[in-house]
Amino acid sequence: MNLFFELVKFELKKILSRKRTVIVLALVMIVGALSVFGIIIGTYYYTDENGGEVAISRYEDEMIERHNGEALSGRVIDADLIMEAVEAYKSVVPLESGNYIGTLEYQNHARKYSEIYGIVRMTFHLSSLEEFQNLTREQAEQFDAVRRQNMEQAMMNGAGSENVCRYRQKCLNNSPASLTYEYWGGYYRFVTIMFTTAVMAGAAIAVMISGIFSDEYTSGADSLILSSKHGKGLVIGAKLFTAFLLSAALIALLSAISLVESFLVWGAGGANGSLELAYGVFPYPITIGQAALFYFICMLAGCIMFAAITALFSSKLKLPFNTIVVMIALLIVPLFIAVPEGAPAWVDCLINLLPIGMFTFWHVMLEFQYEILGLVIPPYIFLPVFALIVTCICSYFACRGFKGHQIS
Amino acid sequence: MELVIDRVTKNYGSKIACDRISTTLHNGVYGLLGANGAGKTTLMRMMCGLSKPASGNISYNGIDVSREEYRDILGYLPQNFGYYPEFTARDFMMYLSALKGIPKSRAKAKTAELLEMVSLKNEARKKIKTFSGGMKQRLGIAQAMLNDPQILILDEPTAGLDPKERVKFRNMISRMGADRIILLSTHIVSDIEHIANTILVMKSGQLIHEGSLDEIISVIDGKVWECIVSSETADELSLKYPLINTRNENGGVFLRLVSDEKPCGNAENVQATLEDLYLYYFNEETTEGYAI
Repeated sequence: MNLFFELVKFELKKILSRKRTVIVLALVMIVGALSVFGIIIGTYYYTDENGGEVAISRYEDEMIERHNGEALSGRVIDADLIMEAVEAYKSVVPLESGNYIGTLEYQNHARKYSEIYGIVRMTFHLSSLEEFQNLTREQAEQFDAVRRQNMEQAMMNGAGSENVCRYRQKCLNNSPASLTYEYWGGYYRFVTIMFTTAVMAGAAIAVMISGIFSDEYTSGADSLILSSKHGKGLVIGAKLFTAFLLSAALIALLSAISLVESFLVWGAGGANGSLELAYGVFPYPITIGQAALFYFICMLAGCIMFAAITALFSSKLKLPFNTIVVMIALLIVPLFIAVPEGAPAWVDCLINLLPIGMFTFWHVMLEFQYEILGLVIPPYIFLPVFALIVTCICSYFACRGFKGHQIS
Repeated sequence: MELVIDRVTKNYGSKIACDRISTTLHNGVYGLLGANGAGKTTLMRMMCGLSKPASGNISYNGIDVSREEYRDILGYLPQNFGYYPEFTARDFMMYLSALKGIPKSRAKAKTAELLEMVSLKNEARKKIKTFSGGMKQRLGIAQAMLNDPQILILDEPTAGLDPKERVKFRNMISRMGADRIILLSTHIVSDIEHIANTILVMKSGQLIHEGSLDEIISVIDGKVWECIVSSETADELSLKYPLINTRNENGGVFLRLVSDEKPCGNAENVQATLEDLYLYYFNEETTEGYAI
């Protein structure tokens, strides 16, 4: 075991001493660390009632949102809260342009309910401010019923086998009868920022791991390695372990930085909030905190899987540059694939299995479940398991590729 | 203790690099002689399990070269070995020790001993990228000996070494050859002449001669001549016989050549050397039509 870790130490040294690794790691760390500041640096300009421009720093604006959100945290979204929001919004008179953000009434009274406004609009499918202002108490009392109806409708979309329907029904039954608002700004920013950060981490992994085998071929060190006692066994394990360790460490470090920065700016609240508070995701019976944890696990598994695929190409393609090109293409190209409306569910399920799917919170919490031998598995569990299987398969073939390398 | 090479053939497309080579090596120093492209490196790579023969097999005491047990007793210095520029000499040796399965404490001691042996003790903590060609070659020699191998295969080990280092290396190999199999290939014929107990001559992928220095040289014994002739005669003789050496001397041209019969009136028969044999054989590749 000591020998194995001795080899890992040298593999780490080899990778980390390469110029391309140092450059790409520095870039990813800087961009990753600064991505939060991209949101809070700068100024928002509102048009006020007199047509003048009101300037407010983005940070200040975000802090107002946070303050408002935290003030509402813990309150059940019921008719009372909805009507409170409706009353506050009633005083808002949009400008001629239809914009109302800059009005004093909005800023002073209505804004504190903007989160509730957003949830109610989504639930009742309201298309304008006016419709919200005209919402009656009777309608507001129907909030939970409509919410449940919407969920049932969403579950009908792309419904699969009986097992899948049963699973979805179970999720629906586990859904709370009433929804409690929790401000989850910190988690929201974390899961949003991490998409870009994880894609960058993927690119960095491609650059770092591309030479794990092929650099030995190009430098001529393959002769020494493959003719040594552990050259066709232990060292391959050490190389793969190093690749996984580096990938996992990179995504963990970037996630930790993003999480801490997001919590510092937007607070750490909302961990116990229902996942229903997040728009566009399936209401799995987990909290926002748990969803963020599953998302991190998916990113971690996705990065390890990506490293394994990179290692496989590295053992086969002989040149690190070729591996980098293939891996970056694998990472980026799916971003440009648009799934057409009404496409069968398996298309989404399949695209989700690509690394990019595992890097996207909304994909990890997608409404399409995977069914294997009658067992229905939600994507946030299936994706890491799938990544693990792909990692094992790729590792096996990478191992064979290096072992069977012929020096000529 | 024998390394058996049994009808080993290797081809790259239509080019046959090694053609049904068979031999058995026992403890001792073997010198592999051949021109570029003769198949020496291909044979050595197959002996190290780095390249699979198209047919035939190689084994040591019944252990196939593809087995870990075989690699455990193998030391190999490739012709152009890869190194890690950012590693120090010590790091490199420690890494190779780990690859060879040597425990850390033993590896440290062995690394220090071998670096001292190849005169790199003071450069142990310097990065390899700062090393000269000769220093890298010495480092390569040191790594091949890390596991105290039973089979030591050295491809052009003396390339880049200065005369002093070459002599030191030759003496070291001679000592080591007593209880292990050492196979080395080189273009520097005098290295083989000094240390090889057995010489293997390869040409066009085939093993054409195998034997001790005397046995090998006997092929051209009595056929090496030296003479001083006019430049016109020198031109004539050079077209007719394989020339080993030529230089201007005492107003004429000194020639050393190989010929079955006396090539000219004043020619004197001289003792053949391995270099004569080498030049004779491998000159033939460019000067066609001569054979003994």
